[in-house]
Parts: sequence; C-alpha cells; structure tokens
Amino acid sequence: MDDDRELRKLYQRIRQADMAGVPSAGAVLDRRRGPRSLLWAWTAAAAAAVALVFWLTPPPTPGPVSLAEWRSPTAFLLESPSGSFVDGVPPLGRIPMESLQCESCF
Amino acid sequence: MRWAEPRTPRMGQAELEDQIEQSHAAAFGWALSCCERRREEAQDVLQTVYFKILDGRAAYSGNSSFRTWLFSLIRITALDRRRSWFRRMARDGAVPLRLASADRESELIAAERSRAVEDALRLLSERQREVLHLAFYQEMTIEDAAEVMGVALGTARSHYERGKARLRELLADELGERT
Repeated sequence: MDDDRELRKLYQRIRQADMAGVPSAGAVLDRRRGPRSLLWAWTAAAAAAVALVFWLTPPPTPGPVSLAEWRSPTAFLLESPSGSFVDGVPPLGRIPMESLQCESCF
Repeated sequence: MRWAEPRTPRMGQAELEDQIEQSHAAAFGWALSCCERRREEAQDVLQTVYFKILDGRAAYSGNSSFRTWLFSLIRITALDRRRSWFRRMARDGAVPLRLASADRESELIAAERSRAVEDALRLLSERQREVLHLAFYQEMTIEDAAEVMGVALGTARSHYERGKARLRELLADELGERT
C-alpha cells in the first residue's frame, strides 16, 4: 500500500490546475521583453547622462600660482645669446681676449 | 509525462530551445512553487532564466539532466529575485512580514485547489515545500530533488519525511474527507 497516495493525489490536483493555465514558452520569452529591454534603456540613459555631464562641465581653469613660481610672459626678451658671459664674473686671465675682438674695431 | 534527459554538453541554440520547450510546463510549475504561487513573478523568473540560457550566460555542462539543471537555475533565480526585493523594501523602510493576503489571492489559480491546501503548503518550511513539490508534483527522485535544491541526499530525505508528516498533520481534515 502506498502511504503517500493521498499526498500524490493532492499534488496531482494542483498540477492539473496549474497545467490548465500555462503560458507558452514563447509567450514567456516575449512578454514585455522585460530584463533585456530594461537593460538597454538603462545603458542608453547612463550614456546620455555621462555625455551631458561632459558637455556642461566648463574647461579646467589654471589654479592660482605662487609668487615664487610666477614668471612674466615677456621674460624671454631679457635673455641674450651671450647670457653665459653676463651671468657671472669671469676669473681674470681665463678669457681669451682675442675672441672678444672684432675686425671692424681696428 | 516523460522527459528527454540528454547528457550532451554544449548544446546548440536550436537544441537548447527544444529542451526549453519540452521542459517548459514542468518548469512553470516549479517556478510557481519557488515564487509562492505568484504567477506574474513565476513568469518573470522563467523569462530571466530562459534569457540566461539562450544568451549563454548560463551554460549547461551536462553533469546532470537538463531538467535538473534547469530547475536549480530557476530556484536560484527566484531566490535572488526575492532577496533583491526584500533589500529594496528594507531600503525603502517597508518590509512586510508577509505579502498582503489579497495580493497573494489575486495570483492564485482558483480552480479546484482549496484555500486550506494553499495555506498548508505555505506553512511548510521552504525546504520541505521544495522537496515535496519535486517528489510529488514533478515526480522526481529524492536524489534529483537534492541536486536541484543543492543539499545532501540525507538532508533532502529528512526534509521530505518531516514535510510529509507536517502536511498530513495540517491537512488532516482535508485528506480525511477525500480518502
């Protein structure tokens, strides 16, 4: 004798009722195209939001510069080709004097 | 109903669709059980599972029968869905202990099931409900049920025996009248 007979019958009744209203597999897949379309919608919205943020963000402005680091934009005009001679005092006897002479001077 | 239970790993798309089609009615019954008999939710779970399979995000390895694998996927997806629902509700500060009975009832298939049976099934533990559904509704062996549930065979047997005893106790009047 099957001790579980009544439980089997009970579940069979439930199954019969369920099977009467089973949507087809295709209908389940097609309904609302739920998760997939939702994912695309979220992805598109996120991409649009990122693009908007980039578009609205102003270009970066240079921050404040300390006085010690500041250089005049025209500082380069003060530099001369012979800067290396002007920068310091050459030791006596070390400069070849003839190299400083020019023919037009004599 | 007999099920084709191939053990061929790496099925093609057409073969997967065929397997889904064959398993669909039983899978729907299992999804209903996993979703506490809420039809809309069961269909959402099934849709998610089918997309996972057809998109290749869930791959059938052939280690078990297709139906056993499909059922465990449905179970996990339903659990994940329920957890995320509870997380959302907790975040919004509105976690009901149980869904409103009117909401549940609207989802039920009235047909010939009695309210007493529905209530009795809900009073079982989740594991008991799962193993009894797989054994009696799906006519699976306890071994296969254990695999679907992701528990040891001994654990599944224990839930099976306790679940039967509890269900008989809860439905004493109902079963007495019918036998």
